[in-house]
Amino acid sequence: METLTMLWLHTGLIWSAVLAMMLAAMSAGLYLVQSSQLKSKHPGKILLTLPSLDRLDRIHIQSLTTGFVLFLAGILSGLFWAERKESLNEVLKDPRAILSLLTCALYGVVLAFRASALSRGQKIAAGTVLIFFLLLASVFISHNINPVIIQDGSPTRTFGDDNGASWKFLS
Amino acid sequence: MEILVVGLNHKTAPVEVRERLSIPSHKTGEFLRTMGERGIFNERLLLSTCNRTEIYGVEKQANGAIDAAKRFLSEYGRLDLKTLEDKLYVLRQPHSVEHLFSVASGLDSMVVGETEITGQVKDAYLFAQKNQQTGKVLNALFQRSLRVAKNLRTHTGIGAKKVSVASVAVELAEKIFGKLEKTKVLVIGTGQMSTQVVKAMVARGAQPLIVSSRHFDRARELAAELGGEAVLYAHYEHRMKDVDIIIAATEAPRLIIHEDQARRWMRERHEKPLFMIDIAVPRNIDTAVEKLDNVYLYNIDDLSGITEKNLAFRESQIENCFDLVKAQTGHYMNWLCKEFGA
Repeated sequence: METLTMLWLHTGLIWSAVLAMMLAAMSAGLYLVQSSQLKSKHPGKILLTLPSLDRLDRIHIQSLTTGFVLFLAGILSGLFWAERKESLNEVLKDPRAILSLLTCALYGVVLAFRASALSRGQKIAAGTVLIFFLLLASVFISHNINPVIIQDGSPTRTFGDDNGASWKFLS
Repeated sequence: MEILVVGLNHKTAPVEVRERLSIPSHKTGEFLRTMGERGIFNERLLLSTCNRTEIYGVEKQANGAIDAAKRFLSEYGRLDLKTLEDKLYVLRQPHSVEHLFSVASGLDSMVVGETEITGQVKDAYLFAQKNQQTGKVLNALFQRSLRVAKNLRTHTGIGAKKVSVASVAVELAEKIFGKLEKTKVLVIGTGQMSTQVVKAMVARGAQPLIVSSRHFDRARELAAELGGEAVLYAHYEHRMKDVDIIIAATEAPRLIIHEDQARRWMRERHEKPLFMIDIAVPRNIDTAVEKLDNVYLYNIDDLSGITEKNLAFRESQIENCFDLVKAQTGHYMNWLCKEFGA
């Protein structure tokens, strides 16, 4: 039961993070559109419709920060759960986990650049959009590669299984 | 009983004539009272702006009142009546009604769709009403004209886009920074155009820093007028860290802001967006700066291009607006017929 709660927490955090990152990617995309409209010097209807760059930037950074914190918490709860199941080493070899860690780290780098004011605006927005594609790839892979199955604390790799299993818990 | 208009505007009279008949607001009361004493119109109202002087009146004996109004204007402006008559237009209902609706909506303005005229019509009406110069007919007419103006603005694109360089610059700045209350605008040069742009930005809450190398006294005066700060040309670069908008408008025959300079400022400003407006001819800002991330550079042609495009859009709405004005004129004339059997 405790494991199941931990799983729900992990899943909830990860999906909340994906939603926040989706919002961040959307606002970053709109920032790039607005910015290119302004750079073009021939602003069209889109320019009048969209919010200001400042507002889009604030939405982008707030949702990115929220998403990053949720993502990090989701990953940590997953690792904690795996550690309790004594399968941390195996989980760390799981491509999904590696991709998730990489995505999280990249989001961290983007945020660090923004926070340290080394970069902002178009480059940060483009970074958010690109990393969101990586996040989508990570989600896609999660649904198409069978994960580590944990049985009584003994992890077994199940690549190639046809059972379409996701996580299985055997107490 | 007929609604009449006697007047002139920027289309019919040159500025030399218009300025003679431009009646300042503090003389409007006396002007209307004198007309009343001479029995010119039963109800009367004066609309005087920089581009037009018009008397709106209601009278049963239209021809006699029109002649009296013309003589009065000629006398007031000390202009020969025959010369003045060539510049004056006289409109009778329903054209007078349609004309007022067009004027109040900005359709007859020099800059089509401008909103200032609606306020001027409202002020003229409130003044005449307060001084008991209007009656039932003009009250209903002017109240309806303000509703028509609002209606047109809501249902057509006549006021949708900005058509002056200053307002376009403000709109672009707001598209970059949102509200301008926390932005600092640095103005290099104290010419007429840069003053207009910075005033428009200050009206939206921006904080001005005025820089001038040749006319520092004028920079100080402008800064005092706008509630900002005057900065010596030699020191302005030290302030760039806090500046969000630069307006360059000097008479210098060369570039005064180069790419490497702007690149350095952007680093110092932690890459915060920078809006640069170059309204000088010859240009003051190197065009290479527009390649920098988060730098938005507009020169006078870029801004004029947008205003021309916006004006063309407004003009494309005129036909639609006149259809609405005609329909509203019809409604008003029906009301007038029912009330007075005219």
